[in-house]
Amino acid sequence: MKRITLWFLLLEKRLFKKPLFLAVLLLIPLMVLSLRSMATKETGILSIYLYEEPAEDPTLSESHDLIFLPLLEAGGLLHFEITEDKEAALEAVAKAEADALWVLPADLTAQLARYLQGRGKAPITIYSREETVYLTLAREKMYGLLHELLAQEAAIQQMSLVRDFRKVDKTELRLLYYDLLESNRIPNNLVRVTHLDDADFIGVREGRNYLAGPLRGILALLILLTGFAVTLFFLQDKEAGILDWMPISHKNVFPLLFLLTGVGDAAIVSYAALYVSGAFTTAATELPLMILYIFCVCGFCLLLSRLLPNIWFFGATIPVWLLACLILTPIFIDVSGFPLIQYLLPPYYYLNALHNPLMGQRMLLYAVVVCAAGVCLGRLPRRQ
Amino acid sequence: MMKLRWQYLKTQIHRMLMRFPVLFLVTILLLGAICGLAWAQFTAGKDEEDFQSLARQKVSVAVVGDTSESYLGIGIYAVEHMDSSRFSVNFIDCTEEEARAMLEAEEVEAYLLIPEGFLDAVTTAENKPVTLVIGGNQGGIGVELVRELADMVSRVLTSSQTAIYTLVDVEANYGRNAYDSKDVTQINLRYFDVILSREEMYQKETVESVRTLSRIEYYACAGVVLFLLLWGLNGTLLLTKRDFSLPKLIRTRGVGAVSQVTAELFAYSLVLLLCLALCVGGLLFGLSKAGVSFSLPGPSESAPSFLLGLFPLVFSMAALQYFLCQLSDNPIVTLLVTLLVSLVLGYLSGCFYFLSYFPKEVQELQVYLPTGMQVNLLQSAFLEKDAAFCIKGLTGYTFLFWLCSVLIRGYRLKK
Repeated sequence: MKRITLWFLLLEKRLFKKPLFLAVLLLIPLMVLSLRSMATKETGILSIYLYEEPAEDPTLSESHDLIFLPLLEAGGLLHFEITEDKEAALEAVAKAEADALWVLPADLTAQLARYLQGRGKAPITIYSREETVYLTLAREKMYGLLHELLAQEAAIQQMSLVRDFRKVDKTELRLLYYDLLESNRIPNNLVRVTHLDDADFIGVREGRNYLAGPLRGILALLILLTGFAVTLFFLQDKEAGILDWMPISHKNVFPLLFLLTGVGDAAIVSYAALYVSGAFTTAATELPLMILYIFCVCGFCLLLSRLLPNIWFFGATIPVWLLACLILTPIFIDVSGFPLIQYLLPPYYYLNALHNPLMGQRMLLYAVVVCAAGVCLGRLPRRQ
Repeated sequence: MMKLRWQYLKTQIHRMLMRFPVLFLVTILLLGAICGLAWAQFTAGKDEEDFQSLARQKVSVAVVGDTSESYLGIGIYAVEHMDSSRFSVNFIDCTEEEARAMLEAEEVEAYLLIPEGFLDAVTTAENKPVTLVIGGNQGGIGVELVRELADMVSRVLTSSQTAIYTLVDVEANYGRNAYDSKDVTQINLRYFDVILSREEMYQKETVESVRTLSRIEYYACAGVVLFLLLWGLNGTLLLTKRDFSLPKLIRTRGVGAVSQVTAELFAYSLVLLLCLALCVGGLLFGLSKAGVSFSLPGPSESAPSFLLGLFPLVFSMAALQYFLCQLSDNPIVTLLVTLLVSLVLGYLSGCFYFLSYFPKEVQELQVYLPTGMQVNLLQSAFLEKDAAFCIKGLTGYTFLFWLCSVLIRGYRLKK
């Protein structure tokens, strides 16, 4: 044990003698903080201009108050911007600088009332270059707000049609309706969001912004790449005969120790980066997961180096593995349908295991299998 | 001395070409992975809508709860099949175990857990919330879409409830029972009607636009740059020098840092260009054999002129990767630096997400990034736009990276 610790420390010393290695490790939290700050800026997958068509009564500004402001406050995937220059906004849409322009009337309630009665044209005008799924979603979001007005107006109109109310003054009926509206208001609480593993948790644990979403995946990828790089280093040392002095009994476990140094360092820095990123959950969840991930990465790299002992072949496959991770693990996109390849990739387990206990068990099994296979394959006699 | 320089250049080209079979194999694997994914996206969808659904734009949501008992099934059917929603949501009716399994297998973005007696509770204002269970993945766009839709549905239902209970109160004020008089049923039906015909509220106008890139064109450009960035990880093995005895020796014979760097960079660019040319050529040949109609970007629409147009892109990328590999003599460090830089530059240049998804500051910065210019150079070929700024910028970057590499090599040779 003493000898192993000594080797471990010597290997660490060798790595830390490279100032650029330390600089790269320090760059990781910096990158995370930059991404986090970027995610707090105003952004969206769609950019929509909102314009209020002036009404005859210049004091009216219903669309601005009832629709535009709630849309701006809601945040989320869509980016809204109020404009007072319709022509400039139209030009921006034409130049693809914005995705759509919504034109709503200032006397929105009156226009919606006319629409419900089947009179007049469609109250809202939408300018866009093409119809996309995201624009449809954006309209649904606006409809969520419009429906409140429509529902109220439809209820008032419904009462006006009833024979019992024909003699009642319409303004009086409307005023009474709005008086009683507040006392009947039901909060928007019909849907609660929870995670797969934690039915008691309601809300959003991860950073909501999709720009910060890939942070955890990028960190996982960096740890994996450190594993690849350390393996290359090891293969280089092996080729140069630096490890020839080692007793045969230690030769099979030593590569794992070698891998643990660099991967461990990257994992510690990534853990710290995760802690400041805002995507950190709890230490009780994150720490075991990270430790397990270290072994998954070390085992995977060790096994791969046993199967591809030629340094050039091993190194040449690195971009392929990284591309596979970028596409087939949920870092940027979720792609399903390639389970055989996905189950080979350590980040796939790490990213899914956070909220999925079953995947955590699979991750443990994976770590055991790849580490054992890596060590056992080293025992096989090589053809001379 | 000139002869020695030529000799060094030839040696470098020879060294790179020695590794070419392995590099080319990797290139094919990389390209195969990208094409396989793109092929899966294209062939599975018969039309643009299907293609978009496969591009993870259509969201699949499992629904758990007895939907046959009440109006709920009708409601879900309506949301799924009527007008706009059918383009964005796909509901799957199943048990909770099945939904959980599907979510774990990432076959659905989320599942909705509808409590027993949900509609009865809604009608009596004792709202039993529907639970939207999302998976454990990153806060991707799919999950965000589900959240937005869930919020909209909740808003529509609660505002309908508010309006109905106010109607009941108003009628009660005038001594009329809204339930007995079927006014509540009437207004519910009216709401159904309003919701289902909601698209009629909008007058849609198509704006005549300047030529913009389609999604496929955009990702084709971003994909080429991402491919080259990842390919650069191969470069770390080719270019990271641990032993400087030969460079130091030939320096004494007059082949200094400038000649060494120029020869190595040229040889590396050549291999990169060769890999790219073979890939592009192979792809074009395959497409033409398969009878797929396509037109190459650029004025002449010919493969040689297209490849010629890629020169600034390839040389600037090679220079960037070469420079990164000069930063250290340790392959661990160069690999990490190359990946870190590739991921950050690729991310900020719109290789993973559309550039329009980023804040304005990033969009403005992208124009000046080397990878941003590379993406823009390719895009300008599709848009038949003037690419002078990108070409000048990339030439400048190539020179800058070359100069920095020369300075580092000079320092190393003197050490």
